[in-house]
Amino acid sequence: MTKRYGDLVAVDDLDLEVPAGTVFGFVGPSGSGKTTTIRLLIGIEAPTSGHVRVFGTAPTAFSSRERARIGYMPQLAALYPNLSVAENLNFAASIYGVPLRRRQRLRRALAFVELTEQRRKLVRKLSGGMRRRVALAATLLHDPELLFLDEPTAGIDPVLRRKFWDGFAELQQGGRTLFVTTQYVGEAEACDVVGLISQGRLVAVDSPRQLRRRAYGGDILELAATSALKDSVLRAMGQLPFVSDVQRSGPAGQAARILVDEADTAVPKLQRWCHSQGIELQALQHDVPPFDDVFIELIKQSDRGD
Amino acid sequence: MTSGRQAAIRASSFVRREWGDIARQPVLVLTLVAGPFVILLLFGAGLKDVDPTIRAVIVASAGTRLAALAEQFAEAETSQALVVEGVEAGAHEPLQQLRAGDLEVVVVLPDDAVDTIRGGEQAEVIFYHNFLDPLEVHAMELQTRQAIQTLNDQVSLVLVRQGQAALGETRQRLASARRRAAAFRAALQRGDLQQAQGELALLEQDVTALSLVVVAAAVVERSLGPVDEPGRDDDPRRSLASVRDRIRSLDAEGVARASTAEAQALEAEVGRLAAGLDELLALSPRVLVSPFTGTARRVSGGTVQLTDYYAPAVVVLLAQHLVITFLGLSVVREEQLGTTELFRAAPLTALEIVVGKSLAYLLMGAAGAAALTALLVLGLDVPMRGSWWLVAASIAALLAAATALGFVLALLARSDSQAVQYAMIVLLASVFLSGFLLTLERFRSPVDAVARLLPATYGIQLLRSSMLRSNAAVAESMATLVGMAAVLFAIAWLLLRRRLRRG
Repeated sequence: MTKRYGDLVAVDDLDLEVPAGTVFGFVGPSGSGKTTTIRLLIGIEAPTSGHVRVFGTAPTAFSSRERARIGYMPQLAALYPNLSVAENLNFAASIYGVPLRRRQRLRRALAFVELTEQRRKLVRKLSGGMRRRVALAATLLHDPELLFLDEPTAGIDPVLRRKFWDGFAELQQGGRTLFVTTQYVGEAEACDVVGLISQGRLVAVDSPRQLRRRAYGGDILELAATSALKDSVLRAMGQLPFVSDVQRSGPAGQAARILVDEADTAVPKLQRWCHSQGIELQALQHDVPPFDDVFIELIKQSDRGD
Repeated sequence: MTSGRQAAIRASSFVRREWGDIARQPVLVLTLVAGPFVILLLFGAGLKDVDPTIRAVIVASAGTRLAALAEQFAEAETSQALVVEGVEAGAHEPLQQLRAGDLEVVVVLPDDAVDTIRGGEQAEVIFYHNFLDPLEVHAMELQTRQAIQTLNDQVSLVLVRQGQAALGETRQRLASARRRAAAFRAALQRGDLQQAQGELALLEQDVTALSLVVVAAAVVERSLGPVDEPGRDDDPRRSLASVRDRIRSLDAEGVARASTAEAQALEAEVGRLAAGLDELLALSPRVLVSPFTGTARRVSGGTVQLTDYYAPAVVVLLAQHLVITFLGLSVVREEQLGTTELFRAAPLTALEIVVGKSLAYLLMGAAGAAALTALLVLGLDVPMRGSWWLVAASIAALLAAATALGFVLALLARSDSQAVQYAMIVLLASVFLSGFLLTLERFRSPVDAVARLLPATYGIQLLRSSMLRSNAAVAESMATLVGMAAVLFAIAWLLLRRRLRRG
């Protein structure tokens, strides 16, 4: 699907599928088209071209029943500052037609976001992080199957962000599907499937591990020997069938970065080979590069047209 | 759960939310309700029952009869409304005082009034003033007209009194005519034909002299009576004609053949003529000069003080302003808070939002109007001559139209300051055009059409009628407000539907 606003292409030929029951992370910098994609998926906007299907229906044609199956947490915490936490949650429940006997639901939602003690507090007196938690609780009250969370962790501290992601995992275990956008690339680790978006274009969609492998052409092993590695040894190592590339690393010539197809199987093989070559190993481990680096690498590849 | 019940839950969520929001701003609500009451209280308690005193100086040429009359008037005038500070010969000094604000009016009497009147023209009295307020100027013009009317009446009164004094001769003529008629009859009874002939001739002279007075009296009477009234039996003109006919007949046939019965009939006719004229001559000169006086009576009865008159209109303006302002801010803030985005994602319809929000502000406006009305009736003794049900229905109709108007304006506004501006414009238009200060009939077209677009226009008519009249006719205004509410709600619904449009 494509979405244009005049000359601006907000979403450019986006093609993705979100499997049910997964946490789908939609990662990209600010202004990359994440929010527009969510608005297209919940039917607030219609695509300029292409089509969208959620629950097998075009979101713009959702019935009230289908809308009630969706929970949406917008980027801006849409709360009433003069109302208390509980009053805001009650209102959120009401606009989804949740029956008036809802005390149990409210209690569960408040407990989920750890705001039971603050339920009578006015929202205007809450911190930014607490407001995000209230907004998340408001999204859950009508027990939706599919959650669209637009940058739920934006502007909050790392401890709270961790808690949010733990909560998302809990929701997923409860059988829900979550579509979560974030600017924090590192948060992609916590997703089942990650879509990388940049300037409206979908750069890649895969599991975090597969994305990492796509970025570097395989897994990376860090090898450290007790003595300097000879060039001939490194060349021979590069000839091994499960090794794609070998590069010297570190100042003393005792270390190397080895690109392999699969780290789990390559490590024991490489250990055996080093032993056969009389190389005394200090360390051999799977190097997991930060997802920021993975993201930048994938963007570069995308720009090069790889 | 049925979809109808879910829709009711969704719509009612706005009532609870809006009330919760407003309940957190008690000072604002208190100011909005108690503020107008305190202002009206000050207005009612502080307003003087009498018009402000007008300080005046009369200018008249020294030594003239008008100057003497002015002096007499200045001494006699003891009302609080007018204080004549003196009679001056020249206008220069009083006009300076007028410009300086030390006087309100300078009355300049004409120097040559007698000559002007003798020349067949009206003499002009000039009332100088320095008012800016058009209403004060208008009042001044009315007072000028009234003063001149009073002056003219006084002159007429003097003339009539002089005329009535001159009627002494007429009375003598009447007495003479009666005596001649009786003497004629007596002479005839005695058979003294010569004496009878002489008395008849003298009676004819008296009757001729009276004929002018008879005609004048008849003109006065006919000018005030019904247009097509047939001649009355005691009409002096008829009596005069009858007396003349009888005298002529006696002259023609000869007194010698006249019977006593004919003489008695003539005497009786002369008596009727005299009685008719006596009645006219007994009239008060003041009644002759000003035969009419006026008294205004309200058909619905009861007195209406100035505070009473404005109180219902204040309730209307407050209720209208309250709902338009609060609803405007509420709708605009939804947009600013981002909740509109949530509404678009949720299974909410534009109709549910319109119904929910409108109901919230309708109830809030009703509570405010009820509180203020109770304060006015119980605290300021504003009369409640109609039924409370009618007052409640009037306020409900007003609030429905005002809420709908508020919704439309709120959906047209793009910021909270714009929403407040719109509310202020409606308030100002209502103050000046809705009949709060001036009646609608005073406005030219098409301005009066603008007035008819304001709910307050009909609300003020309704509430004034239902509170201050016991027999209020309200059907037309009520129907207009209900129609206005229906049309505006439909527009609000369409606008909101467009705003919430998905896709």
